[in-house]
Amino acid sequence: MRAAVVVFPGSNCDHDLFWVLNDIVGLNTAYVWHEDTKLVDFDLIVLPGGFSYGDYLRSGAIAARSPIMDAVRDAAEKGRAVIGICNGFQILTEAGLLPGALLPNINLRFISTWVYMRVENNSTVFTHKYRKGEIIRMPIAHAEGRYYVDNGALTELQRNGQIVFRYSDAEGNSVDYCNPNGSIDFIAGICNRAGNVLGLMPHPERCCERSLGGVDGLRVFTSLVQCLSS
Amino acid sequence: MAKKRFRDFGLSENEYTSLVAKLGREPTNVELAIIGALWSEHCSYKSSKIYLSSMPRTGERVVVSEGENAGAVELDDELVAIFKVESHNHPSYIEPYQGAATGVGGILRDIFTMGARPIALMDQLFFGESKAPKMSHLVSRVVKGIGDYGNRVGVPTVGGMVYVHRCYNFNILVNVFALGITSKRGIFSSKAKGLGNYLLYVGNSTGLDGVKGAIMASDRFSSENSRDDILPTVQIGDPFVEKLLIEATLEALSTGYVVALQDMGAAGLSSSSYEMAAKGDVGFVLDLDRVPLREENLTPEAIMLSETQERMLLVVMKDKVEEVKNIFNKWGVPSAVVGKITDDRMGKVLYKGSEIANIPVYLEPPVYKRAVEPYVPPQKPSLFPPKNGKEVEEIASTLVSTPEIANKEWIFSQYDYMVRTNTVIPPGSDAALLRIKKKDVSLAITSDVNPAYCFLDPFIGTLQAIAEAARNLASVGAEPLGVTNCLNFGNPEDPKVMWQFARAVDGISTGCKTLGIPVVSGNVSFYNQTDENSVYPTPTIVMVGIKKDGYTVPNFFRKGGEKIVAIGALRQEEFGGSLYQRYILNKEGGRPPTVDLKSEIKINDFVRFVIKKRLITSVHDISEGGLLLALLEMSFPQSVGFTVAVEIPAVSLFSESQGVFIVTCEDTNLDRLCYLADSLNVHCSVLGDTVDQDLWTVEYAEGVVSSRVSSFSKLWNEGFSRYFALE
Amino acid sequence: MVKVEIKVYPKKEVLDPVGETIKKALRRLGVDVESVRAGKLFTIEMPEKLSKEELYLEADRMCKELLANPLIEEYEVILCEQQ
Repeated sequence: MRAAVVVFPGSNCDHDLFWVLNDIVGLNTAYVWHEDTKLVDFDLIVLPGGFSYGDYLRSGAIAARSPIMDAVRDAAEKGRAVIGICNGFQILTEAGLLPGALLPNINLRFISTWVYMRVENNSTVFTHKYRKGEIIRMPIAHAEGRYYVDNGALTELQRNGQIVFRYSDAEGNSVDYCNPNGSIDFIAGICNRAGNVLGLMPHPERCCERSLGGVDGLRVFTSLVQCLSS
Repeated sequence: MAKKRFRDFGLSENEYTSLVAKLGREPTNVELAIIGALWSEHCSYKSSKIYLSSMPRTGERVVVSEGENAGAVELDDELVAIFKVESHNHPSYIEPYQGAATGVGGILRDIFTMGARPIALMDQLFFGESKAPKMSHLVSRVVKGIGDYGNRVGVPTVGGMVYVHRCYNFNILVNVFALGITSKRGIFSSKAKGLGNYLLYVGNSTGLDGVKGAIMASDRFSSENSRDDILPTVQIGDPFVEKLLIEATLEALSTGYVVALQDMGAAGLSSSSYEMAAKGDVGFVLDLDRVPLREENLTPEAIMLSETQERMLLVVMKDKVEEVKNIFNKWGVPSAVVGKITDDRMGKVLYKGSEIANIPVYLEPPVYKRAVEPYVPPQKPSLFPPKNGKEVEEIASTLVSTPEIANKEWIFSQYDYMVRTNTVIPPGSDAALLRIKKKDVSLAITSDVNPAYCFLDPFIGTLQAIAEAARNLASVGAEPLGVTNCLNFGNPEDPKVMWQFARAVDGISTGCKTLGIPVVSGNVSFYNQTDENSVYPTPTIVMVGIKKDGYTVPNFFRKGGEKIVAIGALRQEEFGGSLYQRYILNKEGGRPPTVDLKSEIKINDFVRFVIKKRLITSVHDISEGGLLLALLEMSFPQSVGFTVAVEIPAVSLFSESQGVFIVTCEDTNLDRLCYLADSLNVHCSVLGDTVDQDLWTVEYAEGVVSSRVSSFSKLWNEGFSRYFALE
Repeated sequence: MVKVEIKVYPKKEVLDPVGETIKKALRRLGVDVESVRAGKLFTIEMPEKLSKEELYLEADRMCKELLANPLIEEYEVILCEQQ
C-alpha cells in the first residue's frame, strides 16, 4: 500500500508527514508535485500543512485550484483515503471536498500550542484505533483555523456524524476557553459524508514520538495502515 | 562632481582621498556608490576589525569559522551544523514588522547559501520600558514579524530571550539566530571561481527598497534624520518567495552545478558580486541591463545598492546554467544570467551598453583604531533590605511580574516551534533541544546577555553571558560546540562606547578560551544610538551544544516530596545590575556578579554527569532575580510548592549568584548526589523539599516568607502582556 | 485597458474580528463608529476589446472561481471609467 504527500509551493509539513508515514509506520511513501495531474496507485493521499502560496488571498484558496486537485477529487470519489492537516484542511474546504471554511483565529494571532480534543467519531479509517469519547492531546499551529459553516450545514454535519474531533478541556468538556480559535461547535476536524476524506487543524504528525511530547497522533496513521492493508 | 557626493554614500573626506589614491583617479558615481557601501561599517567592520581577531576561532570540531556567511562545526563524522546570529536593529525600529521579518529572511539566507537546510531560529529582543513611545506597538509588531516570517518558511523558532531597559527606549534591538545542518561535503562557499562561469541572479526583481540600507545601519538616529525621512528605505519581506528560494536553492546545490553563492543582503548586488569575486580572487563583468527590475527608471546606483529581499547571486558552471535555471523555474523563482567570471580581478559594471564601473574586486577598506576611554560606573546604591516576610513577598511579586522573569508564552505561542518535528525541548526552558532524525545526537541552543552587567563592567558582563550560556547547555546535558555573537553597541566614534566594545570582545575571547569553545561566526552592529542616548553594551551570545543521548530533565519541579539541592556556592551580595536594583531600587551601580569560570567548568561537568546518571529530576540555574525567583520559576509549570530553609539574609534571596544550579532529586538519591559532589569538590547544599501543596515557604536567616504558588503563578503568566499592555 | 475593481467582504452573518478590532480602535480615537467590515479590494486591468457585459461576466467568474469564497464572502464589481 502506498501513500502520497502532495507538495504545494509553501507546504512546510511535507517532510514531517513523509517521516511519519515512511519511517514510523512504514508505508511506501512518495512526494507528488502540485503540478502533476495523476495519483495512480495511491491508497492514501495527504495534503500537508504549511502556507501554500503564502496563504495569500485566503488560506488554501490558490492551492485548491492547482492541477493535482482534480486527481485528489477523483481519488476521493473512488473512496481512497484523503487527509488534509492544517493548511491541507483549508485546501480541502476551498476545493469543496469538505464543507465549510476556515477563517482567521478569533484573537487574530497565530497560535502555536497544545490542545485537547474529544474523539467524536471512531468509525472512520482514520480514527478506528481511538475510543469514542477519548480525550487526546495534539499540537496546533495556525493563524486561520476558525471553522465556520452555516447552520443548515452544521446540522447536517452533526446528524451524519461528520464531526470527528472537537476541542475540549483535559476532562472532555467543551468549554469556551478550550476553543483555541473560535471554531463553531468546537470543531477541530470533520470528514465527508462517506468518511474517507478527513480534514483537521491539529497536527497528528507532530505527536507520534514520545520525545516530542506525546504520541496521541500516531493512531491516525496506524488506523490507516490497518484499514488500508486489509 | 563625484567629490561632492562622497558624503551621500557615507564616506568621510579621508576615506574619499584614500579611494582616489588607490584608484589613481576620481571614481565614477556608481563606483562611489559601490565603495561607499563596501566600506560602510556594516560591510567592512572597519572600527571593529582590529579587536575581532583576538577571538579563538579554531577547535577540533570547527569546519568553517572565518570568511564565509556563517560558521560550521561538525556534529559527527558526517554532519555539520551551520549557524550565525545577526542584528536587524535599525530597520526594526523604523518599521518593526518588516524590519524583524526581513531580519529572519536575511539570516536564513546566510545559512542556506552555505548548503544547509535551516532547522531552527531563535530571537534575542531588547525593548525599552513600557512607557517609552510606541513600545507596546514595537513589541507586538516585532513578534508578529518574526512569527509570520519564520512560520511561513517552515523553520521553527525554538527559543530566545527578552530584555527590557530604558536604554532601549529609542533603539530597540532585534537579533535573530539561525541554524542549519548539512553534510560536510555539502558545505558551499561564497568564493567565486572558474573563468567564464555565469553570474546567475535568482529571486525577486530589484526595486527601490532598502537602497542605502547598509549606509543607514552605519549611522545613528537623530532628531534630524528621523524615522520618517528614512521610511522609503524599508525592505519588505516575502516569506513565500523565501520558502521557494530555500527549496529551489537546496535542490540546485544538490546538482553540483553551482560553484558559489551569496545572499544579496546589505548593499545587495554590490556586496554579493564584489565580495564573492574578492574571496575567489577572480574578476567579473556584471550587466545591469539584464538585472530583473520591478520598476522602470532605476538608476544604476539604485540597482547596485538596492536591498530588495529574497534575492541571491549564484556562480554557475558555464555549460550548466540552463539546468540550474530550470530548477528555479520549477519552484516559480525567477532567475537571470547577469554576468560572468573573468580572471582579471576587476569588477566591471555595464549599463546601457557602456562601462560605468571598473574597479578592483578588492579595495582594502580603511581600518580604524578608534580612541577608547574607560569610565567609572555608578556607585553601588544602598540595598534597603526587606524588613519582614511581607516585604520579601512584595519584592518577589514585583520581580516575578517583570518582563524578564514573566512567562514569555505570549511571544512563543505566536511562533511555530514544532514544525520539522525535531523540537524536544520547546521555548521556555534554559536551552532548546533538537533531535536529529536518524542520528544519535541532539543539538542544544541557548542565547544570553545581561546588558546591565555589561554596562557596569563590559568585560565581566560579557564573561557572564558566556558562562550563563554554557550553564544553560549543561542544564540540558549538552556539551558546548561553538559560539556565535552579535555585538550591539552605540556610536564607535564615542571613545567610551569603543572602550565598552574592546572590553566586551576581550570578555568573549577570555571566556571562550577558558571554556575551550570556538567562536565560529558573528556580527557587529554599531550606531545603536539616538542623539546622546546609546544602548548599553549588548554582546548577544548564542551557544550551540551537542548531546549524545536524548535523556533530559525538565527545568521545573515535577511533583512534591523531592529534595531541593543547590549545586555551586550561593553568594550573598551580587546586586550590581540585578533585577533587585532595577525594579526595587530604581538605581543601578556597583560591580556585576563575580564569574569564576574555572569552578563553573567543574560544576557544569557535574550537572551533565548527574543528568546522565539519572540522579536528578529537574535542574534550573540561578540567574536574574536570584535564588527565590529561580525556585518560583521551577514551581509554576506543574504547580508544585516548596519549603526551603537557607542561612542567608532576606535580601540575599535576590542576590544573583553565578554558577549555581537548583536541582531536585528523589529522597533515595540524595546521599549519592551529595557524596558525588563532595568527592568531586563541587559545592552542594540541601535547601529543602518540594511539596504537593499550593504553598511556597522560605525560611531565611532572620525570618520566614510564605505565599501561594497559584497567586504567584498568575502574576508570572500575566506579567509580560500586562507590562506592555498587550492584548 | 479597462480597470475593474472588485470588492470582497465577509458576509454579514460571518464574524469579522478584523473589522471588530478596527471598530474598537476607531472608537478609542474618539470616532463615533457604528460598524466596520474589513474586506479586500482588487484592481484588475482587462483588455479593452471586451464589452461591458463580457467584463461583468468575466469579473463574476473571477469572483466565483477564486477571489471570493461564496460561503463566507460577498463581492461587488465596479467597472471604472476608461482614462
